[in-house]
Amino acid sequence: MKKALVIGFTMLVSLLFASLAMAAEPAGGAGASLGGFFSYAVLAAGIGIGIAAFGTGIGQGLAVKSSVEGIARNPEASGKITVTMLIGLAMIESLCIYALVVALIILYAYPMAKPIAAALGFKI
Amino acid sequence: MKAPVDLLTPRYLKIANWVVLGLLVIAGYLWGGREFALGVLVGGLVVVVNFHLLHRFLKGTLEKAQIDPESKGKAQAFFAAKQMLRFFGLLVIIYLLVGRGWVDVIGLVVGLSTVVLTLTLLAINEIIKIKHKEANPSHGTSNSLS
Repeated sequence: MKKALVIGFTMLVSLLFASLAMAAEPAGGAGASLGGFFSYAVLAAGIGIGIAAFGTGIGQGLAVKSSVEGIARNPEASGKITVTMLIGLAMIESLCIYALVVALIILYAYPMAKPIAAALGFKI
Repeated sequence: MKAPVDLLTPRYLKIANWVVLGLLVIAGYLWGGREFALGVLVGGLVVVVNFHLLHRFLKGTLEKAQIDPESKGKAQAFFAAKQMLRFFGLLVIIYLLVGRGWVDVIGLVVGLSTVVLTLTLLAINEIIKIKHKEANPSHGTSNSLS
């Protein structure tokens, strides 16, 4: 428990300083702003898919654990348990797939990238 | 009287997935045109094939573990490797589709929702059947709420 708290606190502090470092306005005007915007976009995509994968891993692990325990206790019900597990896993996994798609959209197909660049005086 | 059909079997789930995908593609074509329908089709194909693979891997692992309990660890390791490989394949496909802009992104997201939509519809159907069974105990579903 203590270890998890220490890891969590370290991660929080790292993220806080990363955002502060990126939020700092370096000399460079619009170019720096555009760089900051894309830095935030990359950070958002990475953190987003990281959180999604973390949750999916925990969710799928718990689902499989419970299903295997159920099958071990009652092997006759393995068919129904397997179907229920399949449904659960598909539902959990779809959330991670959505997060992946959103992360890829942020990185490669963000619709607001061009208007923001144009507003800052850049041509993409 | 005919016995109620159990819709929550892998076979019916797979058939329902294909039916929902077909309906979504038709609806997408009528609503958003050819490019949108293509996005729905590609997204749906990705996620339905993914569902088939998930079922195959799960079935294979559980059967192997039941037949030969000594190879349980091996089967688990293979399952984990296959899961990672499957997810990596999915990542590559979605990266190519979104990154290269081959398909409409909104259509792709709608297509990726095929399995979720199917499972939600089947769950609603089961709830309706359970309610119906409570009202009339001679009919109903093979699955109880408890």
